[in-house]
Amino acid sequence: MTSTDHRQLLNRWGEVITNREWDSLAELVQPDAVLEYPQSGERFRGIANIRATFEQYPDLGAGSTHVDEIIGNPTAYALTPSYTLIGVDGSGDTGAAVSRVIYPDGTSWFALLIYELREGLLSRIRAYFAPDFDPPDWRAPFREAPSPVARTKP
Amino acid sequence: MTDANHREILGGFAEIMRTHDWDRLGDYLTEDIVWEYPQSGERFRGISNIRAQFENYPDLKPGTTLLEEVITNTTYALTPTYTLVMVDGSGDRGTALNRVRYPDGSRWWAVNIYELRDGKVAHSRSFFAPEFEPPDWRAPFREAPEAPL
Repeated sequence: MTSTDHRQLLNRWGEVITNREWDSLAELVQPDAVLEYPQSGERFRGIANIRATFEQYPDLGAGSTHVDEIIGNPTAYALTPSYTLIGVDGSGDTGAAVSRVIYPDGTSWFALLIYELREGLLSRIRAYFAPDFDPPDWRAPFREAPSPVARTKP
Repeated sequence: MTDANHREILGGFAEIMRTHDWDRLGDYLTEDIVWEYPQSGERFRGISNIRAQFENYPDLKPGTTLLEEVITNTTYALTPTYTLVMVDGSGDRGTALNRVRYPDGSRWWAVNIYELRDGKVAHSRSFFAPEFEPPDWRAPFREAPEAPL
């Protein structure tokens, strides 16, 4: 796999989730893939169970797209109400993807996927969910001015 | 496949986070390092600012070590403050997973997506992910949740 392939695969993963194209998951995920949420200790085994965790997420609707800037980078990214890939860093059979997720309650999070590939398809995904937070005052003397674009609200 | 020096660099950094031996940060971080917290939009530039925001963290004290099981099957050293769980990196880029325990007792995962230059971390984006309760609606689809990680 080249890094271009990683980006294509993870971009497609984001599209499938945003557009709720669940039948297309099999193009991206091994039948026996494992999805883990280490923050809760949950593990989902097999594509049917992985699909169910997305498909049955309460109140998650397919969203329209608008463009926004993330992490102070001059590049503009497409930000959707549900799931947008920001960056992929992968080579060989492992990689990491950073996505922006906006939940039905309006909260904005980063989703980090630490993944493994087998025969070009996702075989193991560890997903971490990181919420926006306010910059604490005590760190102000040490930082540059916080960039509001990194904490975009819908 | 992870280059051995990635584990050494990120492991060395985690050790400093655990022992608070801040004078050794320069062993693992470049002088002009940029460290970002995308969740808050914060960016810290230069090793002295990065040291200051670690060193001045309220009520954070160097901790002792205990052993716990993380992600099943493998036992890792887990400390009250900061422990490296996994590194996946080659060339100049990589990802490190850490366990963090804060002074208030809460436990988080920290994911660092980093770039190296000359064998040191030159850029890092850190993301902090809190533990959460497994929701009931997902129970039919999952294996039994592990004990809190």
